[in-house]
Amino acid sequence: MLAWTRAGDEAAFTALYRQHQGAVYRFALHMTGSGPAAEDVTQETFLALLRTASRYDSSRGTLAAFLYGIARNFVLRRIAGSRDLPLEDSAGEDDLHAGLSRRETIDQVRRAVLSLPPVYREVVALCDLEEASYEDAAVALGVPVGTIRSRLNRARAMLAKKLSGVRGECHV
Amino acid sequence: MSDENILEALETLREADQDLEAPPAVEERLIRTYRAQLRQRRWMRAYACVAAVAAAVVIAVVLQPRKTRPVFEAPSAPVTPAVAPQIVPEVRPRRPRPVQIRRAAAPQPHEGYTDFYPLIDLAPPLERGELVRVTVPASAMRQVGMLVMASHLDDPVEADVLIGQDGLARAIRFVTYQ
Repeated sequence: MLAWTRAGDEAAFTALYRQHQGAVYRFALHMTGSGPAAEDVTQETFLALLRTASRYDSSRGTLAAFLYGIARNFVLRRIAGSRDLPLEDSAGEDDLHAGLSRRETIDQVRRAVLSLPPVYREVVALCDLEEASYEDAAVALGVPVGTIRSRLNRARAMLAKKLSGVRGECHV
Repeated sequence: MSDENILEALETLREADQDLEAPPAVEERLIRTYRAQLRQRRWMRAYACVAAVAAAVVIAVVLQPRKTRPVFEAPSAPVTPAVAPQIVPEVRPRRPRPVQIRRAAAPQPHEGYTDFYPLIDLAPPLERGELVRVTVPASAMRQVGMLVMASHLDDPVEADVLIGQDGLARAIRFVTYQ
């Protein structure tokens, strides 16, 4: 499909976009915590795919991993250039200990994920929230699979600490 | 909180967000951009073809310098010699001219031309030019906007290329036979 897209087949590009946009958008959303930012990252990612499709090598990973890698670059650029993202400051400890409904639980988990440092947030977003394989995550983040595993363990431990106060009240 | 509870919490978030997608406006913008890029790419190819034809013409000029015919020269100030040259008639013994037998030339089809088509948009002023007869594939006619049947794109056609004083191919016209 990527080859057809490069050859000028609009239907192939549309199909490719529809197949992968959801995952890219959600990854960007979980990384930035902002819908408009996730929209922008999704658009920039597929524009970059049009420009750099020739660099994609299927022997090195899946197209999804390639797209996650592109999206990650745009996300990190935004995180580095913006201070109004809902990161640590937005996830106060008091909020995490508040009484929760399911909706609130989801919000608390989302904020806890957003409060993680980017290197841990991205492995959680990819492996736990998008169910990407460790291999795809390794390709997307440019690190060995072992690093993905260790970062994921560390990230979950950090989340456990942040959410420890809501354990008894969570309806999960 | 145990690992199991963390995984359950993350699973809850994953299920809640699994249907989230980018708004349709993103797809619309991308499709518009994709179409624009395709149009741009096609124009680039067309320009490349015209440039290739022009380059082929220049190469043909270099390889076939004897076929040039001057067609245009800027008027220059008349040169008046200070001293009239003396003309000394040269007397040569007459020799009998060999008898030349000319065969009747085969009837040639009448040669016609199309209009000139520019090969470059902006060029220095043309002071002096030469017409060079070259043979190019019929696809060159299509490159300048003429209609050519697809089955004849590879046919050779003769063309006159106007080469400026600077060696640049300025325009091309195609030879037609009636």
